[in-house]
Amino acid sequence: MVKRERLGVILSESRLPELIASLTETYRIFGPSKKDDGESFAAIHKSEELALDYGNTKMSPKGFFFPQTESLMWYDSADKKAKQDKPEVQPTLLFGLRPCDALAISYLDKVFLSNEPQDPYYRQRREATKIVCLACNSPSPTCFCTTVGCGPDSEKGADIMMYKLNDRYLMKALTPGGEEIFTNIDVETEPATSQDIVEKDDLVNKACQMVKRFVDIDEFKEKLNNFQGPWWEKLAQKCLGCGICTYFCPTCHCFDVTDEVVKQSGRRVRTWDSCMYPLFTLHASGHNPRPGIKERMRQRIMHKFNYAVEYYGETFCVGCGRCIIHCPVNIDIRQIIMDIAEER
Amino acid sequence: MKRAEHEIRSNVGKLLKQKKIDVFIGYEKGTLPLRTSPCFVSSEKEARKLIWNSFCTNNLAVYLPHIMSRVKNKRSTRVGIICKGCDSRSLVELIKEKQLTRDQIYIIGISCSGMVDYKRILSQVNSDEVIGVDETADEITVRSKEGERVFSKEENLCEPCRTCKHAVPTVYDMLIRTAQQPRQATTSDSTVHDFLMKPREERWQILEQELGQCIRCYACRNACPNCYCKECFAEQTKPRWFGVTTDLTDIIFYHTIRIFHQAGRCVDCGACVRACPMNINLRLFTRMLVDEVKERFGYEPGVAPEELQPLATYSAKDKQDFMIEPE
Repeated sequence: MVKRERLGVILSESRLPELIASLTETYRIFGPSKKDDGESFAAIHKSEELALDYGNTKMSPKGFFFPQTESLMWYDSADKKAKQDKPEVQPTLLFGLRPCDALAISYLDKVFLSNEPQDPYYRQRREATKIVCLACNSPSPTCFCTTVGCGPDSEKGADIMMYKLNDRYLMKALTPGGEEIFTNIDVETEPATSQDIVEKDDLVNKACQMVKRFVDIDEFKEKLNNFQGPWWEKLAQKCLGCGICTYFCPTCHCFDVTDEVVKQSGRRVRTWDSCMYPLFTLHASGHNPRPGIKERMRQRIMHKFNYAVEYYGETFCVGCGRCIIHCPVNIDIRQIIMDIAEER
Repeated sequence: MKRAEHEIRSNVGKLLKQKKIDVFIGYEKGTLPLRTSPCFVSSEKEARKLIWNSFCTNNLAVYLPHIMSRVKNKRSTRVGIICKGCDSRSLVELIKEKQLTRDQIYIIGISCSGMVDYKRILSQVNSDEVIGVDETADEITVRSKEGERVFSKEENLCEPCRTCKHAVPTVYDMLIRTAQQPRQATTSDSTVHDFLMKPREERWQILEQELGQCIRCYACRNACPNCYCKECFAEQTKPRWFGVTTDLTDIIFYHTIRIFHQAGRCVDCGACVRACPMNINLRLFTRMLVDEVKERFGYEPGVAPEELQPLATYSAKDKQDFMIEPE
């Protein structure tokens, strides 16, 4: 058991293998995997498998709770019965998540859990999972978290916050879930001193300076109140209409539900959807309120920076930069924000 | 490169000023190092942002069917576009398929010395540290916080450029020559041959491995100039041809059908591969079609504007050995 300390606890880096070994007794662990240089989250059994100095994984971790393809139920009209698919639930730990991804999960919680009815599939996975966050010491050039209300040390969504100091980790439990993790592990730690906190603050400050704040986001949001803004046409011109930005986004959460029926029986399956697709909101009549790329791109930007603010009080962009990195025509959401903000 | 860039800017500026074209599609500086971005230019002033370098990889022909379907006055609208060899071959096919007419477009062709694969270079440096990029005739210099590193262009070319035999556009109104020689590939692509030499189980395994990574973002389709269908089979619901999931059967179905639709049309520009965020080697499959069509019909898509597409015509000389008796 790790005792609770006011300033957090210090774990020597050399004890990381012990920490992971101890955690694996209670939890399944997923973390940035060394196998592909921290490009993806994979099951971790030993600390050597972890690539904790990673930038950001390629795909976001949203698929842990909200998989791209998910069977909801199976049915057979012969016996008039439907069988619900229950997600396999085990105590799970997402270890070494970046603060932006943790914040994104807290947003998804609002979507799937804050209103009745809650989403039972999401809930079961989410409730079984705890998040250990690792603050960023060296953000990537595509990171813009500080512009959208996140940051290299953002704590929201995390159960435990970890900071990498020189040769040790500073760890702090932020939630009852985090405290529970501490009670479940057996590894030697020391109480953090105020000197450690100074060192941490210094690293966080440095990281914040590395993330460029490039625009007054409020001015941009204000402009979005003009739904018919003249800028959409031009911004959407080069967009190819693929789904990369939405599928890589840690907060995009639109889904479709389809019945796959073969003769008498079938399954109901939920899959990711994307506002960039022609089938998104296509009415049965054939009418589509978002007939072209302009309307679809507007939907994507408005949902993140306008509708979500109205519904949940949050901007549904955490500044992870995945959409910037992977867009095949180099559409940069930072540029979109600047262009709209500066439009007179 | 710089001279070509200057020529592009001044010519596009002139064309727009003289109202010979209404809009020009070219490349502008990207927001990330080693990237460029397609751009639409409609004034002489805007033409100054056009650039030309070894990272102008996007096949811009992809925008034309969409633009043409939207313009109100089809007769009087004229779109300018910059074309590498592969892009011009795409245009030739689009014209053959009556998605455009030749007089609707003004083509600035550029003799291409091969495009550089930015992903390949980024995989060799710490991509987070890159500050800037310089380029000479044969080399790319990447400046980063760790210092400078020089890469040979030849070793880091995009895959299709290695075996490209038509680097000079096959159709153009004006041709700009860069300082470098247009690339003339001497080797032919052995990808398909190597693949076919493998035992069946291994081939299936490769197919599973490659396509198994697909996330169905449809970037391959949307980046492809040939994929201009107003309604793609992947999105038809009455009937729905295949499932919506990321199960392997659905993914394989999607790619197989999309790629088959490219028979006799694929110009091997590699736009699908470059757009794929999962780095799936789609060319393994499209190459097969290209080779097959060439072997059976002696046809290379996009090369000869007057030649009819093999699947849109019939010749008594067509090989018929593919018709086999059921066993």
